[in-house]
Amino acid sequence: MDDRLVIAGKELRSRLFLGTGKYRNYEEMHAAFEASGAEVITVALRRLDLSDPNKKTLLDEIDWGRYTILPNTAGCRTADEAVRTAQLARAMGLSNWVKLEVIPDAKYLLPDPIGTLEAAKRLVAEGFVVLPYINDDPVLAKQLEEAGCATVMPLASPIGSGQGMVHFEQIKIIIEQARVPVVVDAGIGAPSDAALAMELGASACVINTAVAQAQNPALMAEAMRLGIEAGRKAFLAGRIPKKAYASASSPLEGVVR
Amino acid sequence: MALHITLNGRSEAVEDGATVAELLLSRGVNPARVAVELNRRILRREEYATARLSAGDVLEVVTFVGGG
Repeated sequence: MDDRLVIAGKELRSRLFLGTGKYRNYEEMHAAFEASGAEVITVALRRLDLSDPNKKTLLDEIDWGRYTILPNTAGCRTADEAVRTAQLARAMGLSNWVKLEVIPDAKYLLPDPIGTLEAAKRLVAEGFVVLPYINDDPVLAKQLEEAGCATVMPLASPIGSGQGMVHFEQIKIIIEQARVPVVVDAGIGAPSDAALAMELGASACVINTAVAQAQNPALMAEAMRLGIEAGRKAFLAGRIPKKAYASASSPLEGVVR
Repeated sequence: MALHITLNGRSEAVEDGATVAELLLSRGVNPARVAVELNRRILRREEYATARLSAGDVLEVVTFVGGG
């Protein structure tokens, strides 16, 4: 079954986008990447640590030619900061994709919808492939789609919280109305959360903390891959509706009494 | 002769007339692994060898790190 996901002309077989943050060490990160089958990985952009010039950077550790690199604008609190960070990320020469995050509040890490829309419009005009991180707001999702974003990325629950699909109902609405891929991003804690997102019709999931901070990241990465595959197949297979009453699975006639 | 610039948020002394490329080399930085912004303008890699530093310049040298 050829069920490829296409974003900005790039065909992807894996619907698991994996984050590179919060791993205990590079060995665990590499093992998780291998087990996940992920083709898209997110990275952040930060000042180089000049105190130790021989220290390896992330780019020294990963075979970045194997992946589609999705730089994020994590840490940016305003549209201006996010645009600047995206431009610097593009100047790295590896990707013109950007996971747009405009997050003013450090406690819940919720995105600023107005700053996100403003930054998205500017970045689309500058030729970026924009994947905006948003709350579960169907109206905002439509505005970002109309502004030319390549996807919309509603959060399931706060970043790193592992709460799962708290925003289930509104994400359903976003999926119903979207004509671009909907990628559920943030808050996934277990494969069942990712499977649920995919069963609703999401096109992919972004997962970081749930894998990086699992007791066994490689095994969890494999589990997430399987959960996403299962959820996607279930969506394509067409599930039965939920009913309030029972419906017998065995024939009613010929019962021995 | 040394002049002072701000490099990644900290005041640093650099050789007068040094280019960005020379500064990166002197700090052991691989130019292919970074992006550089000089006084809020992002430099193309081809410009590192010709962009000369002046007193008071603000330089940001950034790279990709792990993140979600």
